[in-house]
Amino acid sequence: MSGARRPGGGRIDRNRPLCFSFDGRTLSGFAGDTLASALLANGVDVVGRSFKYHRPRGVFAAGAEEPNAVVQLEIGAYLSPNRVATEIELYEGLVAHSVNAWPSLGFDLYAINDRLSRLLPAGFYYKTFMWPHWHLFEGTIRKAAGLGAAPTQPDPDRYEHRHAHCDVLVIGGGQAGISAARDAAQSGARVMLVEASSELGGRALWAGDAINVDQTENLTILTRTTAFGYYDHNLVAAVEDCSSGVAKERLWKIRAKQVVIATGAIERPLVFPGNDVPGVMLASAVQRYAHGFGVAAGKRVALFGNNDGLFDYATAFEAAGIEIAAILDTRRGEEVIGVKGRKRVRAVQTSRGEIACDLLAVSGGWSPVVHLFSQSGGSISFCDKRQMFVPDKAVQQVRCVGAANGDFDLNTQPWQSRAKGKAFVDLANDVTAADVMLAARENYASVEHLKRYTTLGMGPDQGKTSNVNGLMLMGDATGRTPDAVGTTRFRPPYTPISFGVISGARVGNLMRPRKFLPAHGWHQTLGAVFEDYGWQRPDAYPQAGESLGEAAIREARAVRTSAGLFDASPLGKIEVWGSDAARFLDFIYVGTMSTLNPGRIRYGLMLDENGVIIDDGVAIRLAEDRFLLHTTSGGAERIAAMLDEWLQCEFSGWDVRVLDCTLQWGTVTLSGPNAIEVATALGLPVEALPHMHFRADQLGNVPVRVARVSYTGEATLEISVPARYVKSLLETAAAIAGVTPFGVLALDLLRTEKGYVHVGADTDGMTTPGDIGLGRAIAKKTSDFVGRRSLLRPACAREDRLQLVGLESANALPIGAHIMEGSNAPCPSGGFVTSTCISPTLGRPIALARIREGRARLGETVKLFDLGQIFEAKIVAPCFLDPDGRRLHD
Amino acid sequence: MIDWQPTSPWTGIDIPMCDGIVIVAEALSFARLRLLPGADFTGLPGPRQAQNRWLNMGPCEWLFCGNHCPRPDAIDMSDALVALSISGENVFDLLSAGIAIDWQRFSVGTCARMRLGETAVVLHRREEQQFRLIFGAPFARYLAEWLAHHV
Repeated sequence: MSGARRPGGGRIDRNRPLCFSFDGRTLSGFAGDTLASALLANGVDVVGRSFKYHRPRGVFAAGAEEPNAVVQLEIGAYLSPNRVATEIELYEGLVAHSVNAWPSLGFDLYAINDRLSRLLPAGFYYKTFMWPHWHLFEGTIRKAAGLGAAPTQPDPDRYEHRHAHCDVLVIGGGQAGISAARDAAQSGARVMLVEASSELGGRALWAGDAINVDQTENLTILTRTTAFGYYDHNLVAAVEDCSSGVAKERLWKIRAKQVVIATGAIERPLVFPGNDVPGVMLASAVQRYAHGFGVAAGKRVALFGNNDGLFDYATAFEAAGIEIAAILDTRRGEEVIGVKGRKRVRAVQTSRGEIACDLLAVSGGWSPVVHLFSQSGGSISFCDKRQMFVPDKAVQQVRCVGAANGDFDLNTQPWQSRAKGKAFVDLANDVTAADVMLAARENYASVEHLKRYTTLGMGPDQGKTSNVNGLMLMGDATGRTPDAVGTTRFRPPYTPISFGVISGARVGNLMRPRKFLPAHGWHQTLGAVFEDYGWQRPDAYPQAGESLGEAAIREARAVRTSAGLFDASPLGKIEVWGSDAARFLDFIYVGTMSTLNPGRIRYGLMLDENGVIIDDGVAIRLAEDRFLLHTTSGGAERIAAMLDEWLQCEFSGWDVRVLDCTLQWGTVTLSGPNAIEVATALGLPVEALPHMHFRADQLGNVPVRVARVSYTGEATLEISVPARYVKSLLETAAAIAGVTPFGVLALDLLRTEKGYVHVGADTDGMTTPGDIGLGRAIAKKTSDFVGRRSLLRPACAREDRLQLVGLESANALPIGAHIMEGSNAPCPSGGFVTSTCISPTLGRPIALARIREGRARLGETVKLFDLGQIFEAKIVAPCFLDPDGRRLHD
Repeated sequence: MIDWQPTSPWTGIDIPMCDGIVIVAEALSFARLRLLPGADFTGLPGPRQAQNRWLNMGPCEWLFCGNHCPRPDAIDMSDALVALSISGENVFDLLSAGIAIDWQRFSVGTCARMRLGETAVVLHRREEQQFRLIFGAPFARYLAEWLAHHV
């Protein structure tokens, strides 16, 4: 136990003590502390175990670059895994637990991994544990891998998104950032300044320099806000920690004309044996804890580094009351060759002999935080003089300033340890110098291969303290300069962010927009069970004691024997008008619509340019120059957009206009042998209206459109009225004796019995009209239409394509079951089941399937395979009921 | 015979209230006008502009918001669309939670199709701090829930 609170100093509020717990121990800190500073102040040396070898690890850094101090924050539903202690502001009652140790942090059985480290080199899973089989060990190894545990309960916290625009966005509130923001604001620009910590000032805060920010109306300052992603068009994403407000976190999407990156620099560690023992820290972190938080990270410090900064640190540490044991400067040939102690530094072994100390502060130079610049698409290059990667060419309106631009005046000299022992490059992922050398020997010399083979830089810290050291080592091993080795492309997020803030308000009912029928409330009163089909639609209306399936069967039987009532309001309704409307539709549909007489209806298929069916429905000719297209419920918007696209791109001179009127008209379907009778009782204009005919009229002041067209196989009327009147129509119709409301499940049973195709279920991205038995229209049609050229290719006319047929079987066939083209599984598939049910009308299983050469195989018995089960079925015609269509016309 | 009783899309939906924001469901009729390129556009607003009760929705397309559309060639969409008036000193905070637009460039008298949350809407800036949101009637419940969540 070496860290301690200093009697004075720091930017903490000593009048506001806070209690918190770590691994069940109750500890105290002050407002203004981070969890890391409070742990150090309480003398907590070991805060976690390392990822692979389970070595004890302590606080190493003071910012987002911290690789060791990863904790589980809070418990239960509020659990937040893998949080970095250096980035957690202390609050009253905070609960944190260490990770990666079992059964406890002090006594971790998995520490055996450290003893077995010779079996666990980089890429060990490709080389070891191969006998008798990798899978024998895989479960145990996977269980041991990983850090924290994910919460098992829904997150009760609230998260928000916010869009913002500005002329200049300054990222980083240190001196350089403040200066840039001030200058831009004084020029009259709209400026936003985001700073990750709770105060502006950066290093100046704990170096004692003065901070001066003039708040003006055109300068917006967001503290506790971390910019984590830089995307195209100068879009920067940032997360604001606003846990003191209504929301826990807020995701800012900031679009700026110009971005100034002033994110500072991160101190690099040095790679030497024992550099991971608790008590080895970045020198800048020791200084920050001393002057920012009033915490002495140790009593007696040895300073070890390769640059001029060592002497400034020595002065600062002395001022903080930390005794200086030694200053070891690699430029003078002095170096650390080992560290004594396991759970805390006791001494360091140096080229000058052993030096007793409890803290080793290291400084290996600095790395500008170029992550966001790289994410913006900017290139970075290595500066030999300053021994760091610096921003080079920008591709967006962005520039780096201050330390982020490498504006240092430090004499830094590269240094590599030659001492033997486990020297860590990446503390977060336990990647050692030996692992990097091994990768080089095995020719994983590309920086991308190095990363993936060794996992260098793939920990939660994303290699902020390790990447540059790793690629410099690789450069040494392969005789290349760091510039030649290069870096991996930096990717968002700069620091880990929560899933909650990505989701924002998109949870529960707001996960995605739910579309409600105009008469949704009426369906609710009837006890409808709803399902999301793009719209919230009734699946069925179960009665007491009835299952959903039983309800659907009852409803389907009612349609076959009397009359059913269905809310078909989502049915796509697109109006097309103009003097060229008819010839335009001839081009859009496979069938010919220009020969249709006003008041008549024709079924049609729409294809894409590949000849694949994308939608089906009927076209109704309202007048000589006006059509109403009924599309599938899910296809209305897409088809309307497609028609517009054709008009705007290919037929801009044609007199055709298109408008999607789906939402304007509510549609009610009356179907069954008594449907016409019921419609007449309602006063609807259906007298002598034959199948595939249309009539428009006014009932009172209400316009009514009636189309006699069927998707059930029964005489059916599709009655459309302005959406506000749908409830009245449904209510009145349902009150007539013998009328049964039915839902989507019953509709599916009815259309399957009739063999009507459901586009998207019985068809897929390869199905042509010929495949579903509607190739005749193509053969007849001489004019051009969308997809025609593709359909004329020989491949589309081949007889061995999958063709729509029916299947009859003793047992119900599962959707997706494959037709076996061999006697035993596994064997090639000869097609598959697309729709299936036990027919309520016929009382036996039926199915639709697409089978190779299906139409030539009627009567043949085939075997089907599904999830280990084998079925038998007979191939029949797809229409199981009323193939002559008498029911439609009666 | 049918007793035609109109149903409001807002039936059973609570429109949220809070300090600094006033949200009101507007009783409006709508009509969509589509003309051919080269037609006479006299009296109709230009790109992204709103004049009187006409909103420009895109090339050759306008939306009429009000009662008694003067153009017989416009198609009635009164049952398809609904409108909310949103105003107040906190209106920008509320709308910025779901709309990615720069309010400084979206001046009074401007309208545009855009996305609010996960839904397509038409936004019309009527006054400095007053907006009209127009969207499909089936989304009324979603929009009300979205607004309630964010106010």
